[in-house]
Amino acid sequence: MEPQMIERNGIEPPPLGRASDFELFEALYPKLRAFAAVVADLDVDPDDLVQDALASTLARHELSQLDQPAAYLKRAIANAASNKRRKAGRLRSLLPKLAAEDVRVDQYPSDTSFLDELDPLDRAVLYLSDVDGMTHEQIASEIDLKPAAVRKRASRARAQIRKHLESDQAESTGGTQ
Amino acid sequence: MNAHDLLEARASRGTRRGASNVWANAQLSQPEPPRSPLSFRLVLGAFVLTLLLGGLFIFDQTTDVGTANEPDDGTVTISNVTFDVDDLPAPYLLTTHGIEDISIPGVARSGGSGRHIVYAQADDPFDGPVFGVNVEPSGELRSWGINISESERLAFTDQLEQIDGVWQLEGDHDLSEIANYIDTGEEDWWFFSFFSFGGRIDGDPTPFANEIRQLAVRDEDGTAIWRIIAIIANESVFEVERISIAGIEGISPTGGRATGDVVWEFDDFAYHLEASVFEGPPGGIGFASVPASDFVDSVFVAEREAWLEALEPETLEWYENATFVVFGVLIAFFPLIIVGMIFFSIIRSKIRKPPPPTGPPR
Repeated sequence: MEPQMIERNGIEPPPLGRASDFELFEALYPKLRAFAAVVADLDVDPDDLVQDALASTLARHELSQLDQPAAYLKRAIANAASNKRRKAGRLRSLLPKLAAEDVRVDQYPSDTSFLDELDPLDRAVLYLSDVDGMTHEQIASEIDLKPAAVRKRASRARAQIRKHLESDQAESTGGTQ
Repeated sequence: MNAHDLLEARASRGTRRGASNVWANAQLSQPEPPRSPLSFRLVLGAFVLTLLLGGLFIFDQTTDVGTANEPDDGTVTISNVTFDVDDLPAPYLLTTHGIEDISIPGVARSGGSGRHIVYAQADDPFDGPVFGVNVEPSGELRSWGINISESERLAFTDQLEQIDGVWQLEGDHDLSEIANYIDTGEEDWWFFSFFSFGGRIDGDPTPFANEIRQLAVRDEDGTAIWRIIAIIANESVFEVERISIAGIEGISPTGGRATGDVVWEFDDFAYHLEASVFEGPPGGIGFASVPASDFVDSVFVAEREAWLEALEPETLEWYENATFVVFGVLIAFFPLIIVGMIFFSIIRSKIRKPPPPTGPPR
């Protein structure tokens, strides 16, 4: 099936030589987008993250040349998310007045906002483990971590979520009594 | 709700732009490829090369400033010089090289066709009187002398006698005949006639040579040719003619022989720009003469460099001055520019961090 290209801002469809790259990306896009939505903080648009990761990847490689393009792009997305979070933190430390307020804007308000308390890589590990059903070894290979680190991150993230859910549950129980 | 549900909810947040749009925007936002260190080095090299060439150009212009009117043989062409005497630095007006208040009688160039006979001390012809006579074809005698008074010259002239067709200098003296030849007018040489600057002996204006640097006698086809360079207070003597420099009367060398010399008069003084090399034809004869009507009170010597420096402001063109300024500023700020380029290249490398993935996943 030919990819349906949307001409936007005068952007032409990808050149013929890279049509296979686009097809590859189109096939990977749903999973990459979901992964980006999990690892990115709420004030970051997941598509922006995917786009940044794709741009930096295409600047160096053609997707079809990569052994594991999905893994490569996921790693790029995870790194991009970490970088954005680090920059935002640095900005808040430089501008304490702004930091006092909540400068982050939740573009898509949801009850998953407490996940932002987790490290992006922790979220990535948990997502790949619990949603994609990958083993720790597979995850380690996917996002370039050691298996022990994956286990540690997964365990830490689950504990935090569990604690948060228990706290929520206690509050709701207390509220109904 | 468990962690799985939370993550799935999180994974579906927001509105999807679609693969095509993300792809297209990624193409647009691709970072520029990092500039290779080679291009940086090329730019830096070109910059340094430009500075070097500019510096060489300035140096060339600086060294050529005073010699812009010089032919390739290193001589100075006086005729093209425009010079304001007022620009001459004051110290040079007082540089006398030990010559002060020298009276210079005008002595016309003698010589010409006929027989020339010169008498002088045999061991060192110019360490004492030099007496010469030109016997013209008409039989008329024209004598001249160096380091002798006018009365002595006349006395020597009276002592000349022709015995058996041979001219001889009679009387009590230690002079020897050191040259005796006939000027046919065909040889390519000028006889040393004179003259130079002199003092006064017994009240008579007297040709007076402080030093004779060289005397060479060459016998070629029966003709003795003198090559003489007379040194007046360590300066080469020269033949001069009247010139006008910046409206001021002066005298300069003629004949292209004593090239590099110029003498000009100002405020009752004559100034002499010395010739670094006495130029004469091979085997030819040195010469020096002052026009008969000239009388110079004093001779001050201006250094050649001073002369060239005095000419400098007028020989610089506007674009040469602009080049001086531009490259002067560049050279002055060169260290700052280099440090700035290094600083900004470091900053740029920090800003343009390479994309996070460092390679295919393990």
